[in-house]
Amino acid sequence: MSHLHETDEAAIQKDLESLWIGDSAPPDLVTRSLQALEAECAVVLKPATWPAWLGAAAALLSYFLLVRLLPGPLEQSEPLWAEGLTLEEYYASPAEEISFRLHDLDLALNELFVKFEPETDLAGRIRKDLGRIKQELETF
Amino acid sequence: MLMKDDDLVLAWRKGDQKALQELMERWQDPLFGYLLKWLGDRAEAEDLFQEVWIRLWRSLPRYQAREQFRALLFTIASNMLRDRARKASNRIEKQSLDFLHEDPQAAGTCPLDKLELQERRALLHEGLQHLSEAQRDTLLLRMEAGLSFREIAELKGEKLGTLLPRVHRAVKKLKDFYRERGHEPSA
Repeated sequence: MSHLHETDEAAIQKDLESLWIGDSAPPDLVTRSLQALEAECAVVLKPATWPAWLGAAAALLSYFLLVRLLPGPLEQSEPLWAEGLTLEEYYASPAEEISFRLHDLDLALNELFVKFEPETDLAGRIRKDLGRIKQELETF
Repeated sequence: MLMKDDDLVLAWRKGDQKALQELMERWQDPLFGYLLKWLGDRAEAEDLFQEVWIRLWRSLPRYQAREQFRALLFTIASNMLRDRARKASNRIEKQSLDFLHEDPQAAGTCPLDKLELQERRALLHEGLQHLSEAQRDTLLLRMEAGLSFREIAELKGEKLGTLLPRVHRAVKKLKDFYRERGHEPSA
């Protein structure tokens, strides 16, 4: 079977070569492409890094603010961290850590929103912002 | 000693611009030829050439050095071409004309040779446009990218036994097209 393929391939190749004509790139294409890449990468870098940095920083800030502000489920997890385990040891994987933290954040957000009832404009804005941060963290 | 593509990619990932330049120079003719024969428009082929490298740059963090740079490069190019083809499906006539009028490679040769070169190139290009997208892509991956039929089959997730008959039909169609236009393929 493989011999048959080789024969086929050789015949096809011979036919193709009789039909083919090659092309050369313009002499300055590499230079122009390098310039374009350099310019584009600077642009590309911003959206690629900003939301991730911004999202992560904002989420962490919100998280620790919420930990300080709210009593409840978040505090209960603190003593386990204080047992001398590193976060890597405590959580089986970064994904698990994020999942736990999101769960905590969810609980904290719910408590926060209960406190703001009936909802004010400010509470609405905070809810929207934190919801976005949570969404970013989930896709991070 | 010539550096492997993988080594150049890894150096590029670390920010070595020279490595990128070498990589680009190494692949400029095959990639440009592949894009030009697909698109038939030099300006578009040049634009897409740049876009392919930008897309490649974005995929650098996930690149694994398994000597598959060529396959990655042409997979990206092939996907981008298919996206573009979906957006502009009725451009065959314009492509053929552009192809005839612009041919810097032929500059400097004698007028008769230049004419013949242009004619042969236009014929091949037009013939390629008469093939199905899958047939055309396969031929270009073989002849421009230099991938083996086995590599093309792997890249497309097909069996070699399925791919080869398709190539066979494509070549026959192309030869028939040449004959219809009064050109016997050269031996």
